[in-house]
Amino acid sequence: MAKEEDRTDIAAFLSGDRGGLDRLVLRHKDRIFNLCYRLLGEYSDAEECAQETFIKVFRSIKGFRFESSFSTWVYTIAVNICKNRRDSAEHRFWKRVLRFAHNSREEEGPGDFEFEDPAPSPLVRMTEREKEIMLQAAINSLSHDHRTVIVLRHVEGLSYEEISAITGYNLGTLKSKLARARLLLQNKLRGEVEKR
Amino acid sequence: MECSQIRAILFENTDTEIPVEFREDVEAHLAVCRPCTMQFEALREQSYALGTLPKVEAPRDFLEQVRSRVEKPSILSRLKQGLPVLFAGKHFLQLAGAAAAAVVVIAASQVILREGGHKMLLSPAPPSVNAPQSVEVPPSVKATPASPLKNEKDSNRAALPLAVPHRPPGVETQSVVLTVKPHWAAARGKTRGGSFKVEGFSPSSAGTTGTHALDERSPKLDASKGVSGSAKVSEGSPAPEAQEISSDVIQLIKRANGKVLSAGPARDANQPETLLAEMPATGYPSFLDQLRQLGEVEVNGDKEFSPAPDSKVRVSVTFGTRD
Repeated sequence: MAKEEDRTDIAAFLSGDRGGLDRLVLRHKDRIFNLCYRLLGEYSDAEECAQETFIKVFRSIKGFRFESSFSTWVYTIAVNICKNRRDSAEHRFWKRVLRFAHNSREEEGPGDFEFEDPAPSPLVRMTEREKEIMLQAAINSLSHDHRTVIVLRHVEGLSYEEISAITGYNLGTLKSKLARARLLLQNKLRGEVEKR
Repeated sequence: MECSQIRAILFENTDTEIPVEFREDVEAHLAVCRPCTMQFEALREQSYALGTLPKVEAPRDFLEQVRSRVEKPSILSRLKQGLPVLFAGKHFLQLAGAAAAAVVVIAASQVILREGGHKMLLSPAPPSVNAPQSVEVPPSVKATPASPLKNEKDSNRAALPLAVPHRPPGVETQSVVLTVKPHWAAARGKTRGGSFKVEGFSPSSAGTTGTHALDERSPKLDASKGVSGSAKVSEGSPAPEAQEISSDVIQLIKRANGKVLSAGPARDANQPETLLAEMPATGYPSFLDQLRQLGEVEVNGDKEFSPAPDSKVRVSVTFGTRD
């Protein structure tokens, strides 16, 4: 249903109806904004990147060939813009991190799926607000690839096929990256709980 | 299967069904392995927590912000629009012409300043006409020291306009020395007669040159000689006749449209009086004729002197009343 509406609005926009683009923005803005926020972890950065996403959509929509759904196309643009933003902000971020020498950049974790403490999830004992803060901090600690697949799969609830289309990974690689990302995320969560 | 193998399968299939080929082994392992069961539950709890994270909504004015940014042209597009206008034929030619003109003006000014500076540094003293060694130099026509010009190259430098400030370029100035023996002096004989000497002069002599107009000079002349014909003459001063003829010569110079450059009585009674004047060549013949009415005139030691019509004549008139 949404795909049909997207197609109609794109056609309207390309025929000169500026309202077509407005409807596309209104339909997808919240999901794109949420994606950007989860990928970047900062509201202002998310707002900037979400706007840039739709500006890029506006400027390149004439070249859109409906080879994928409009939402997948927009997600792809948003993920790339967030990656670029993250890369540019990364330098400042790591300078700040190195100043306090709290963490190293490398994602640490076991080489295989061995666990020293197979205790129940620490999330069980947290409030919703605490959970959100803890999870977002853990997501932020992941690399872009792992963060992207985790957010797209578990936060946005996209299918493996959609994620493959967005990231360009084949299904096997995607599953492997997802498994690794879950493991790293769990270790991060345990580490955060132990710090407290 | 070992725990690590079971956990790898669980992590890969947390949110999906476990593949059929592993399903029995995994279920059997989880039934007997408490740590792996707890791990699996933690994994599911994590997936659930991620899926239930609050959805952050875009700001209410998000659409307006996107619109404003879409309608605002980017820097690149502004450059794309501006560059063709800048390089459009007419504007581009105007800009290129202005730039070229600026370069030429700057380069020319640099060259002029450089060469002008050299000329100013190399400019020698103005040329002068040295007095012949055989004659005395009257105090009113004191020659400048000999010019430092030694060779032809230096002479060429002296010809530069900067070196001759008092001479307008293109007007030649010729010099003539006139020796006047008044009729009354000749009649008086040797006791009061003039002893006239030819004088050389320098048109640029310091203190004796200048382009004083006759009217400006006249009060001084009057003061020096008093009222013509009635002034008291002290002992040793020029005779009244000499003062009168000097005044008459000045009038003649004035009639010939000339101007007196230097005039004055001799410092002492033994020195002849001398007038320096400049006049157009066209007025020189009539001046000479009228001067001959005052007395016997010797021109350049009886040499021919005929100035060019478009030139100026500098006249040194020497006369006196004593031998």
